[in-house]
Amino acid sequence: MAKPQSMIEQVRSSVAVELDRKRKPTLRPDKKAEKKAKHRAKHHRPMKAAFFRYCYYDPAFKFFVEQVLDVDYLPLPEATRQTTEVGVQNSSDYVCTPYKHILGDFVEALDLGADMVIQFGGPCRLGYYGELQESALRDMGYEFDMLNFAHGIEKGYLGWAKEVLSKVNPDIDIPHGVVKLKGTAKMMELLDEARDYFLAYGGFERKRGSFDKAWDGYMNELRCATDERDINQAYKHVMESFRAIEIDKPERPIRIGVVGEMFTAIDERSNLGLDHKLMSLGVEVHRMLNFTNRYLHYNEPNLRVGAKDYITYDMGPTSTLTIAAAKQYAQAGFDGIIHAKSAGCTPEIDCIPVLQKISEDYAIPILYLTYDSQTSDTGLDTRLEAFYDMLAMKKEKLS
Amino acid sequence: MRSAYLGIDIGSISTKGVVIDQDRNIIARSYLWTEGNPTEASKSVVRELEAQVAALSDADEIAIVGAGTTGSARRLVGAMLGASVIKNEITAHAVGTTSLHPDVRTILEIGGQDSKIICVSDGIAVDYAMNTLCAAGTGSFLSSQAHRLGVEVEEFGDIALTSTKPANIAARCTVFAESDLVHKIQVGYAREDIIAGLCNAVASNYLNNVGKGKKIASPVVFQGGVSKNAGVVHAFEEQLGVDVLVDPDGHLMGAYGVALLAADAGPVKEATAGPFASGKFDFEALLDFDFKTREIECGKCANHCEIICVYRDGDIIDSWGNRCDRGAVKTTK
Amino acid sequence: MPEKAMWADVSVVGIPRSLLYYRYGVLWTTFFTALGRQVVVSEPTDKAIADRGEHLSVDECCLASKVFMGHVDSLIDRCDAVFVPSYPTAEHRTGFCTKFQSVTDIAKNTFRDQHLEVISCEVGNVRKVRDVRRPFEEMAIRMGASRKEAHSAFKAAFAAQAAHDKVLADAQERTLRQIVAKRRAAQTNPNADPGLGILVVAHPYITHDAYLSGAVLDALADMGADVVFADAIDHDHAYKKSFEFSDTMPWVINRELIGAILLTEDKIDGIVLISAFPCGPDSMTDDAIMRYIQGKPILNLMIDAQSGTAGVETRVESFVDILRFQQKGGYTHG
Repeated sequence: MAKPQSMIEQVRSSVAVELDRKRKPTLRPDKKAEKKAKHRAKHHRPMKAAFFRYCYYDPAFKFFVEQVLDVDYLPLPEATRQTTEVGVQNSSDYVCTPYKHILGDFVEALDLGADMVIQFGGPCRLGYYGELQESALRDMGYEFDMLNFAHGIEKGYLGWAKEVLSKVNPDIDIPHGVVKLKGTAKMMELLDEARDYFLAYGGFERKRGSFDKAWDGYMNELRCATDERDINQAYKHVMESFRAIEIDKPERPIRIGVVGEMFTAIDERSNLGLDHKLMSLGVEVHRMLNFTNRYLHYNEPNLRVGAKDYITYDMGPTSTLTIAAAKQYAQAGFDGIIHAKSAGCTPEIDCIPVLQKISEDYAIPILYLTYDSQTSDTGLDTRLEAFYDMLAMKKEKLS
Repeated sequence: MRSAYLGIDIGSISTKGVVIDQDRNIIARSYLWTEGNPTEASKSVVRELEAQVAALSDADEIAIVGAGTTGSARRLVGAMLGASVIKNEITAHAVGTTSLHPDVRTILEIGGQDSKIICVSDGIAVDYAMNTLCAAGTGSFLSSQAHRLGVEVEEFGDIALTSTKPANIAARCTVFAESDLVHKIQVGYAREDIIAGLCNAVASNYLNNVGKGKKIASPVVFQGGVSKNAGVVHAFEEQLGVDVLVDPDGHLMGAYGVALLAADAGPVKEATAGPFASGKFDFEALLDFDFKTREIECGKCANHCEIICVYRDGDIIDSWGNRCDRGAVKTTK
Repeated sequence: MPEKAMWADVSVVGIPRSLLYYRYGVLWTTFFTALGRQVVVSEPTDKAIADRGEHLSVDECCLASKVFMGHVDSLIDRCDAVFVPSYPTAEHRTGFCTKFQSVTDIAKNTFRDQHLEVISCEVGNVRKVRDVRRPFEEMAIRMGASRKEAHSAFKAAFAAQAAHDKVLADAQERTLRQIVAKRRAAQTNPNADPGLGILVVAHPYITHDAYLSGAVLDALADMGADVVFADAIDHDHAYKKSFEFSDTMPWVINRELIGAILLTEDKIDGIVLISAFPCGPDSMTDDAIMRYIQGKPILNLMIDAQSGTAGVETRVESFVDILRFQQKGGYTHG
């Protein structure tokens, strides 16, 4: 994709000449706004809070907002091209792609009437997303509050609890909140568990769309859940309906493991429906990377031991998971691995030299996919099809 | 009656076609510019192939019973021809090349807009990579630079070989390469040195981008449009330190590969309409129909999928680009 | 369990002159010298090193890290082991780009077939001396030193680095004073040269690597600008100041750079930001700086090995012209 010359020139060098100071040199919203927010939190709590769109975790976010924060949740409709475009227009050119997607989501949420948006904190650039997005959105003229979990991150749960109480809702009943927080975690876990089954069997359904239908039902049931019992029920139901679906699975199907960056490798909007594309080719898909394995049960040193032939230290937010998973897939005799990341994701780029060694040692092909907001659907189809063909032919000839 | 198979590779720049007989020999070949019109280009290609087959001494004995398409317009032309196999170009190239050169270990390919590398072991493609988004170092990049230098891209290779000290040109990105090139022209570098520099840059850019981390084992086959450029071939040989084989039929490899796949799939059966309705490829039937494509933006959900519909005489015969059930187009096949 | 003194027979330690060498190089070299090791630092970056690095790294890596691989490569066969430490990402507000955390393992994997011996340690929070001392001492013990030797080696190394930093910081202070003095002189005497103070804001491994940023600095010098380096301004002071700008910025070096801007912006005439393409942290902080630092013209330059020098000169020249024009405008309007 060749860009027009003028645009690149702008990225390569730009000059800002603003001789009169119009605001203080700080990213933080001014004291007045902060005070106002505090006042509002105390007396009129925010009406509607929204999350950005992230994979299939929307029901868990809803549960968190409604049950833990005890405020209204604003669900976002399916993302459109417009969403991404707004995000891209208002971000610096070479910031990582998830930033642009999330910014687009927030704009949409605020347009739909949200008065609070919620952003995670986290390792790498993610920790800085919130602040920069908040300032970008304010520059665009929006008035809102942002619950940014990058604040208070150094104090862990206590810091976050303080943040939530002071910003969102001072009336939260803390023991109740803790119970519901556990529920949120449970929901995340069960979402991931059902997804694993879905990925492994979805490619072999006899009637097209049966798995998707069951999945949608699951999501809807979870959206209505109010406690852990409902969540467990929903999981039980979906697993029943999954098992009831007639499948036609060959004895030795093509198995592909997906590894990569936390956002792009899972989120179907960012990776242009990677899961579904692979399943429609008739692939058994495995993906160790998900919220459960990265956050809820992440034991990095333990995981690293499994990959100690390749790495000595933790290499970044999801790097150990990427490498350990790739090695496990290779050892388990998978046919191929797909490494998906957004353009410019430094930690995942740094995993590539290691993955190349794994590919060499176990003779397992790895397809590297880099997504940015302009990645074309057809280009991806060609690459995936070719990858599948290659694996299928290899399998046929070797067996 | 001997059965034969048709393979068409419709790329962004050129359209290639072959006919193979049941012994997998190429009996007709054709190569034309696509010129932005894949349907017309492939009709012309098929017309030429037809003429070549008709000119054979045993023409009456030969019946084309199957067809395959590959390349960027594979779906459209595939629908048009009623092809039995529609495959992506990577697979087609791998199949074609490995069957002509069974001992090949590495296939380098630089085409009009993309470049790829395929690693082969024991006749099986075991690894491949394709260029990322940027078009730097591909055929279209070379021809636009040739235009800037006022030479025909066909002469590029020969001019490059006359250079004794190639200029150092940065070609990692089209835009940077262009500004570097302009700079070098203005500073007064000799033309052949700049051209040789460009050829070197194409090769090193390819090896640093597409070929990064891949084991490039000999024998190496180089194909795609850019392989006709002796300067780039020379640059590859120098940088890899091994001989690089360029097959005179290299540009046809995709078409040949997909023809082989069509042969594997066997004759087209049960076609009720289209060129294969009679069980044997009927060229007149293809010309009789009027093919049109239309891009429709589906408004049934927020996704706004762009659906491409192919019409034959006003009937929709195929569509793609749709992502959900709501936008499913019914074909009147 | 790793062997206790697995690096005991390493007598020549190679250090790549790249990335954090420009920040902690004095500490590293003094530390190994104090342990009785010979230290070989790779030559300053040149085209051969950069090309080699480009060849060895994944295409999408940033320029600086590509150059780093070239430096490691140039040290093979010149030393017994190469020192590649890992600096942390996860420390809140005092972390580094993940590149510095993963660089040890990238080097190990990239040079696996050459059987490159890599000495390393996993540094903790760099703003806590103890978190830095421990890993270094542990590493010394693995090199066969006693606990006491390790301790005194680190002490010497830490003091040397601090002294080095102080010298540099003082030099920046002096330049700043000169800039202010020149401007004052010009206010009373219209014939005097008002001078031009430019703050160069870039990671130290960009600013002080002549191959990467030399063209920019030369162009500035040619035009008679007095250059102050943001990365050399008193680190501690700048770091603390940065909290006035941002609460959540995770990277310690970027924090120091931003703090330096806040500390010096009243004294200088313009700011030049230099980033290596495509630097992760800078992709976000440059955006913030360009939008929030007002009152001084800013030139944001993105360098790539490919960019050549012609384009850089033009841009710096036109930027300096803007500044001079603005100075003059200041006079006519009083």
